[in-house]
Amino acid sequence: MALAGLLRPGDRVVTTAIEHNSVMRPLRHLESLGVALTVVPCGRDGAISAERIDAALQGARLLVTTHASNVSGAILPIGELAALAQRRRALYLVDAAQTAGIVPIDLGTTEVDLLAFTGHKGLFGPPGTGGLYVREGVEIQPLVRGGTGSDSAHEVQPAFMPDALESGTLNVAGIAGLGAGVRFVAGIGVDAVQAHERRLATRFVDAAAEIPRVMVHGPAGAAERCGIVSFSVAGVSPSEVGLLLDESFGIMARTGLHCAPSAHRTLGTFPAGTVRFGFGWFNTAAEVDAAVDALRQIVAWSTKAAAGAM
Amino acid sequence: MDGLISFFGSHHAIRAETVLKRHGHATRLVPGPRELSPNCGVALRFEYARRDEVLALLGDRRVRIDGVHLYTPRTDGFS
Repeated sequence: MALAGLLRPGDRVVTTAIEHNSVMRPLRHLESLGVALTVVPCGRDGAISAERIDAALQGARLLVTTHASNVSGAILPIGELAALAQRRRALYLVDAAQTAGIVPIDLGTTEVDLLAFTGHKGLFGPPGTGGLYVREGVEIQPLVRGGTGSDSAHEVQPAFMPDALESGTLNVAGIAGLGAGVRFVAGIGVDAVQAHERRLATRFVDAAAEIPRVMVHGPAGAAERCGIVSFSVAGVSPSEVGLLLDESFGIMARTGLHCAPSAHRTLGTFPAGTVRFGFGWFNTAAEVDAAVDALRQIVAWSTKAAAGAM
Repeated sequence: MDGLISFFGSHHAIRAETVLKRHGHATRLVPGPRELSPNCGVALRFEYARRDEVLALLGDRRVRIDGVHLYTPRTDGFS
């Protein structure tokens, strides 16, 4: 909605190489319609270079980045990027799918123009819910036009928010569920959620570093990642690791490319992909230890298999 | 189970599982092995010996499949 509502043929948009397909596919489509697209590469640890973004922003209408990589868990410095975009007079759109409810975001002090979030991850809402923050004064064309229950005498879409962007019957039950999730998170406090996820991710990363043949991807520092950790096991494919974790240990992981092919090209894990854990508020340190133990057993098994003992 | 069906999307994989289970076939959804299909997502294990019957059933229910493979994951040897 934000991308199609802001970009017109002839505009230029800047993004990063670690975006999810939810950003990249609309951008590739807009590119086919005449929007110029610049994809700024990232380092292997998922870190972005502010200088390269800044250089690419010259003459651009929009900068769009994720707040945190859904593959490596790397958190981007959105405050710094917002300042760059503002200086270059570009709008800044943040994809907060991985961080809403998990990493504190203050839209009052950060110069972010638009921020999209999903309800079904860190906010504990039902699938199919989410939201788009649009800073007052940003002009955005609606993706869908229709009835709004307002300004009914006129046959043109109202220009005022939120009606301009909210046509048709809203998913009221879903939004109420999202509201309950948001109240739950607010009750815990986003800082507490972040601290918990960081503890678990650090516990896993530190322990996994001690297991031979296991390679954890992404940033080295705990402060630079959210609760997402991607890793590879030498000699065992991500789908095999995922299957063993599921069937032999009852541990859920996501395997493969996680809808972000260029993020894997950045990490050097394309086309095989990785195994990904997403540690959340309801996970415990004991569960992290169980996952580490399972990985040790999988590595021991694959080492034996490689030696021809099986 | 020594057979594996790959799909273009998980919608069809889940439908295939439902259809096969309803007809008493041994089956199990697993992560799709990349070496068999570049389409990321889930695949379905089944008894390869019953493939004609299975494919007829899936064809009849208009479940779209990507490929059928004789395949036993080496993870079956995990202990």
